[in-house]
Amino acid sequence: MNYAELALMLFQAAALILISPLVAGIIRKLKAMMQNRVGASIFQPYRDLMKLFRKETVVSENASFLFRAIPLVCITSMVLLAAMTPFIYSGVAAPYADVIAMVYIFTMFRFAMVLGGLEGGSAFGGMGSSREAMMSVLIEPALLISIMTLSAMTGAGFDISEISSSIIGAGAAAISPALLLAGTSFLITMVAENTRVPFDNPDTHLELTMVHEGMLLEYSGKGLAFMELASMLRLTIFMALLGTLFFPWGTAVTMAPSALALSVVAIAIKMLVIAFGIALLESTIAKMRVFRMPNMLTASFALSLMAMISLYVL
Amino acid sequence: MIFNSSTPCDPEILAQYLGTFYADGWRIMSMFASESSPGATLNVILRRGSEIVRITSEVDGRYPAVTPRVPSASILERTIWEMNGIVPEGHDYLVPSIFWRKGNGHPLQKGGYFADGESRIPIPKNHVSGTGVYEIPVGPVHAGVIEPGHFRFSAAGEPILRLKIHLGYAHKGVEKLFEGPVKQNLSHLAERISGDNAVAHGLAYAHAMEGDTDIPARARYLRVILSELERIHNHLDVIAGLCTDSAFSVAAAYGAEAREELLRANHELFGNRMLMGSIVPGGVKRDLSADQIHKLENVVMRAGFAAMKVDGYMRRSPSEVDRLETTGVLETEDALRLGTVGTVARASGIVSDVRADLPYDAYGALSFNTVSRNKGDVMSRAAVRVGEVTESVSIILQCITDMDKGEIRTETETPEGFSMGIVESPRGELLHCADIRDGNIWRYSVRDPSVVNWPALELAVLGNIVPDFPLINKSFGLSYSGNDL
Repeated sequence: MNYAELALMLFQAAALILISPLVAGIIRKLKAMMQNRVGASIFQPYRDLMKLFRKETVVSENASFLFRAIPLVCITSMVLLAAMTPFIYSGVAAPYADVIAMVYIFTMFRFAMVLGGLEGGSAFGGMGSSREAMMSVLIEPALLISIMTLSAMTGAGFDISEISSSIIGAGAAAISPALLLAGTSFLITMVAENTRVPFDNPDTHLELTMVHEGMLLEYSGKGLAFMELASMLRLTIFMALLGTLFFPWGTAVTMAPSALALSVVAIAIKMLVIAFGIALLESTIAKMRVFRMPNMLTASFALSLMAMISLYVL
Repeated sequence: MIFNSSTPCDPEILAQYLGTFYADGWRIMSMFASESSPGATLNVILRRGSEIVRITSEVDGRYPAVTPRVPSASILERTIWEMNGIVPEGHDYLVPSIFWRKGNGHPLQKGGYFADGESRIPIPKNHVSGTGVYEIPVGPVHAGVIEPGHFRFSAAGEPILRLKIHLGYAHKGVEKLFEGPVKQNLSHLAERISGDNAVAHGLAYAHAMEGDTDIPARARYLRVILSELERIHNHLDVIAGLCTDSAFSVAAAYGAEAREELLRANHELFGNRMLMGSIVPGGVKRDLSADQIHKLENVVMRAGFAAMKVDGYMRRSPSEVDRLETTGVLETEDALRLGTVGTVARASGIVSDVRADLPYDAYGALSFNTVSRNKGDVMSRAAVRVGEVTESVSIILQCITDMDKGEIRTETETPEGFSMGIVESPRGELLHCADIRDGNIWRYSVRDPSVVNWPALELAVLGNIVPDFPLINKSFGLSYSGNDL
């Protein structure tokens, strides 16, 4: 890795972190428009985060040191992932960006969140954590297999940076059942992992139905700001991965300025399309019953497994 | 309506006596104690279809409880015990509903209440034990802008094993505030018992206060219009709320928008969004001009279409139907046993509607259906509400056609003795009773439909999962303020 690549990698990570509140804001705005509401400005999440960073932190007397440490673990793991994600330039962080490391950093993030939910000592945190743990068990294999299908398909091994360039290199031949199935599985995983409708309702604070919000309930001030930012970043990273790994056309494979410029435009369009899709999904369907989630997640896992099998059968 | 006739009964055999009534298909509408010296008079009001019976019983500090024979008396006897200090012996659940109170004594005893000191008792635990069973305390402060109530779930994983609802946080001594000269008009107080049912409470108060005075025809029609407008906005609120709670956001936004439009029209036509200050004993306060009636017609039709549209969204969405069907089932048998009323009872197959059984104001001259379903789940309750909105629209349009010009208010004379006002509020059968002695209200009793429907909620949630509770609660759509009085 030379200095130019390192600079690009850091720039990319910074860009991902900076735009993640904007992505959340755009999705909220789109949802508001679909509901015939004016909605808050797309820059509202930035204002919320700035407000939270200025506020004091209140810690439950039941909480141990973990309670304070967990927001830092969460934000660090997501920043680390931001550096690994091929966002504009596909060859980022090569050869250190490892598929398995990526999946398990996501898992570490979830694990930290679950612990954080339990730390506060409130009943709602415990409920949120228990539901998240149930979902997590099913999300992990689906996520792992759908991404590894890509590795196997392109022969790129475990190096993320190779995947995009190999798919682009293969041209139209890359659009195979394996890619489509793995992409669909990844899409369901993305919705579940980011606890959006139909798995969870990100807009509600109804105590008894919360999953993600339940775990954040006891956090305040900077801790909450870090957790919120980490969650927004997680969604943005997932969207970026979907845009660059599963539909990589447009992503820069060289460091030529023209390719990079094209890549910025391409990824912006892809992100907007995905944001629109999420908003549309959340506006048209109701939240599932908690006990239907495993069915949906198992379907996602089955899809990824079929993707992997089709790679060798077809 | 004046209701002076009563059947006296010895308190020792009251339970057996009410038991025979219960076995005959009568339902206890209300039960309250009225202080006298010495002791107190228990008033029990029973209804079967369009028949009403009042049983009175002179008690002195204690009497054998009715609850073991008539389950629906449980909550009413608890209130008598807490507010009047009369002990129903043999009652199996004598737990106060107010856990932290200022003053000693029993609030509804005459002169027996001292405002010094305070008493605090811990909220009782559920006492359900077993592997993996835990207790979730929720409230009284909730995450949304809703009224205060404390819910205690015992759950094993997600399924609910037991729910205990502890209300009483919104107690404000309303019944005591009514005690005073009958000459003063307390409509404004009645309307604030439960703000979203302002018309129903105002109307029940008016009925209790105006005796059997003949109300001008136009006023009777206007009262019906007001009642039905209130029904529509309450039902729209619940239907939109069901969509919100299941994250079905577009339908929710549509319903909320329709309700808001209706509330603004209420403000324009009657001067108050919740239609407060419209009904007074003797008639109504405001008349509608021809232009306003035209506007009303438009608004009501639009609200009706909106309800049908939201209903269509809900029915056509498999994910929404999946959430609503088979959730929170209240069996017909349980609904009968607990004496539930209104939309909750009608969704469980009990066809009962005060408007049809005991027509008041202009209802006798109008034609409408009593909407009912028999599955008793959240979907049925939603369907009953949607059906009722359609009926309400039809009733209002009939009123507009039938209404003639004329007076809207007359002088009334409040008679001595016992009088009642029974109306069908959007939540169900609402009863106001007034015991009037020497030109003063001696005892005023309010029985909001929520009082008898809350215990049914504890049953309906059993076996459902914790995250479905908000949905079931919303489908019942009960009032906390009306319950706590």
